[in-house]
Amino acid sequence: MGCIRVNPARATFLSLSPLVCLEKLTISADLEFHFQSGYRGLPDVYGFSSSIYAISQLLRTALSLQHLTLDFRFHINDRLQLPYDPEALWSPLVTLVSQTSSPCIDLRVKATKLPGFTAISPEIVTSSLASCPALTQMVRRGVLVIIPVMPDLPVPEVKEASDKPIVTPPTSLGNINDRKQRKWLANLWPFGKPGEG
Amino acid sequence: MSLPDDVLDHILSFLQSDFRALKACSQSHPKFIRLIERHLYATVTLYDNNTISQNGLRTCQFIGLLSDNPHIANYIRSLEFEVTHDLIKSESVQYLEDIASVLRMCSLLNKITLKQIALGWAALPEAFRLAFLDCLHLSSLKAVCIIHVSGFPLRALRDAKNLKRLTLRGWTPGHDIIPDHSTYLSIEDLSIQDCGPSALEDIIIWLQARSLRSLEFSGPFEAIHIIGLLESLLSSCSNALVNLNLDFGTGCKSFYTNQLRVIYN
Repeated sequence: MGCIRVNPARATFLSLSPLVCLEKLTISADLEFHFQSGYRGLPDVYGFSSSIYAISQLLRTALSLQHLTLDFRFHINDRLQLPYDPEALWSPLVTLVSQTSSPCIDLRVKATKLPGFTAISPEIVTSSLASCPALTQMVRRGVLVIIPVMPDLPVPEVKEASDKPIVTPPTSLGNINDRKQRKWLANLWPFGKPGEG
Repeated sequence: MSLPDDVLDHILSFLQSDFRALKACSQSHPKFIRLIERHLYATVTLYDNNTISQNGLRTCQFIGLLSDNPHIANYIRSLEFEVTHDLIKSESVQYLEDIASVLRMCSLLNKITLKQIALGWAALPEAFRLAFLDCLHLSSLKAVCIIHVSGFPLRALRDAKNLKRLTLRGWTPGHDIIPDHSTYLSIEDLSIQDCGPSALEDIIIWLQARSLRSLEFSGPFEAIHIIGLLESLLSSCSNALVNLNLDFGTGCKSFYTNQLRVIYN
């Protein structure tokens, strides 16, 4: 199954060639998979909407690059499986990696939620990437490093420093400077004295 | 506990962002209390309400603590203010006026952050605004983050003579404080994110940063005039820029399909 670019290139006109000292470049982008079920005997239609082509054009102008990081956030509008055969799907990425001057490229695969889309688990994307022989070869040669980035775990809620408030809050902000009305521990340590646990 | 204090201090410095670890250490040996105190208060977040910050204190508790222990102000290196949407409430205004007094005590700040002002810079109490702008004069100040604060006067940054890092996220210019001419800042690290096209235009025209070594930029890459402005910013620092971070977002896309039938784009 082929992979056809439908619309003409929407290239960025930005050129990085004047940046003679540029060593490290990070490019982040949202990449979207679209799916529509076939009907009346027509096959399913898959689409892949990405700025890889524009990024490739930009990278051609970066001449002194030492390290490139591609920070891609993947989304899908329907099924949680990727369309196409991997070779066709990732051919624009293969072109990008093979044409860039950077000796080392990190590809960070992220899952974040975009309105109207579903975030794809990084494992699904990396599994599809691993099925593309050209990319696998680049990984083996050490040109490309694929890094799945797992979503952050929820941060536990911070509780007050101690069950017994060490610092007595003022009864109102109006009397904040009235020291007689406040009670402080001798060392004013918000966790209490050592050994008090 | 035979390690020298400076070694212990260095080890503890790695725990600055880990309130729970600092708490555990403080309870392990009396010697740690004195050492830990300055790490515990190195980074402080204050709110205009009663929210508990990462170091386990409410804003009013911290203000109270500082008023009785002014030496703690010398430990603060990074100060962040997060303003909620309750600015109209008189209680919030009172909090912010009290926070202004905290600001005036912090003479060794490295970094200052102001975020989420729903009603814009102009809606903040005057005492807070003046104290914040005074902080920009501090010789120790190296980093300023303005996050979703519309109308913050960029020209005030001219007073931050030692500023090295500037973050502008979700900034929009105020009607009466559009920068009138370019300003040279000696910043080395600039982050511009989620600013609309007109704000970007103002920032890039206003800012001259020839010594920029690191730039983070997210913007409308398809807007040709913005690309032109960004190119002029890049060319002004072309001999210094080492690190560039560009976020294309959902822009500049090509559409690939397995059928010559476009589903949508």
